[in-house]
Order: sequence, then C-alpha cells, then structure tokens
Amino acid sequence: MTQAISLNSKLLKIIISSIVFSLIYFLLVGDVFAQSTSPTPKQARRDAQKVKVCQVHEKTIEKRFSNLSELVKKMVSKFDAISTRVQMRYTERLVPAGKTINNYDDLLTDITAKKAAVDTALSSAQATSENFSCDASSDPKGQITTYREDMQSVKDALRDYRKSIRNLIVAVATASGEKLKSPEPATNE
Amino acid sequence: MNRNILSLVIFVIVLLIAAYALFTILYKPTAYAPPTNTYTSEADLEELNNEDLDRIDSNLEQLDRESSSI
Repeated sequence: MTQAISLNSKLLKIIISSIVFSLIYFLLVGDVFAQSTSPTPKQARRDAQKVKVCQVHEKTIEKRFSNLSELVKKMVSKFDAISTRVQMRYTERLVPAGKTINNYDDLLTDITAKKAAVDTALSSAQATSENFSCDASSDPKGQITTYREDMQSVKDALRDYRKSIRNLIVAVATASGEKLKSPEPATNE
Repeated sequence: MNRNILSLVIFVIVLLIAAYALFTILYKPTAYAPPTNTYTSEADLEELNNEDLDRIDSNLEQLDRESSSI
C-alpha cells in the first residue's frame, strides 16, 4: 500500500516537473523562435522609423550620387581631350618631321584599356546608386557602403587612366626634345 | 590715236604690276599657314596633374555625413 502511494507520488512529481519544464520551454524558447520568424510590434515600429529617417535623406543622397557621377564624367572627358590633343600633336607635327615613338601603339592600347576600366567601374557604381531605395531595399546603409567601395574603384581606375596619358605625354615630349619640369602630380597621386 | 592706246595699255600694265607687287608685300597668307598649336607637353601635363581626384573623396565624405543617421 505504502509502495503504491510512493509510486503515485513519484509519478505525480514527474508529471508536475514535465508540465513546469514545458511551460518554461514555451515561455522562453518559444518566444525566441517567435522573434526570429516575425517582428514584434516594437521592432516593426523601429523599422518603420528607420525607413522614415532614410526617406528624409533619400533625395539628398540621390543628388550626391548624381553629383559624383557628373564629377567623374567631367574628369574623364578632360582626360580624353588631353589624350586626343597629344595624339594629334604627335601625328600632325612629330611624325611629318620624322620623329616617331617606338611603343606608340602600346601606349595607345594602354590608354584605351585604362579608359575602359574607368567606364566599367563607373557603370558598376551607377548601377548600385540606381538600386538605392529606402522603401524597396532591406539594407540601404549597405548599399551606400557598396557605392562607396565602387567609387574608390573608380578613383583608382581614374588614377591609372591619368598615368597612361602621362606616359604618352612624356613619350611625345621626349621624341620632340621638349624638357618637362613636372612629370608627376604634386599631391594626389 | 594708236600712240594714245599704246600709252593706255602700258599704263594699265604698269598699274597691274604695281598692284601685284603691293599685294604680295602687304598680304600675309593665313589660309595655308601651319596651325599655331599653343599647347605644349608641359601644358598638357600641368592640366592633367591639376585634375584633383581627391574631390571624389570629399564628396564621399559628404555622403557619409548625409547618410550617417540612416
């Protein structure tokens, strides 16, 4: 009889313990799962606020993207103009005078390749900027970071492009017997 | 009559020769002159080096400030 009571008591303890553990599990672990699948109202409010803050700055950021693209395009067209001018001087003045550059074609090939690299890097940056949106994107901040990296690539490509034009200028100057004072830029090389 | 015509012809010929001489002295041909290219390699290089690539960085810094609160 006492054995039966003791058995029932143990069984009761096990059942109660199971219920308590189940409750704790659903209260704690269940809540964690709920958070990972759907946002709580508090988090949803925070996200909405983030989108609003982003929207306030959206136009300014888009304008900045546009300004940067224009700036790079102006630099490229200036480099293009200088390169064309140097090539014309070579073909119109030096070549008729019998002054030629042995690796002239290589220099031009390098210029073409470096300009193509600038175009590719700029296209990538522009694509990133066009995809920027506070509403549609889940990570607008991340998009800005990507754009920043793209623009650094554009800057590096521009630097290489300038260097290839500089090589052509130096070659033309050497062929024409012109002495150069400052073959290297003073600051931003 | 014939002498007068001859004098007139000689006068015209002398006038034409004088006009031609004056023209060649005063007229400076420009159409066939070689193009005066004022650019030199030094000028090209200076213009190339003056293009400040750091302006990209200053714009990116402004972008950072504008997007800091996002």
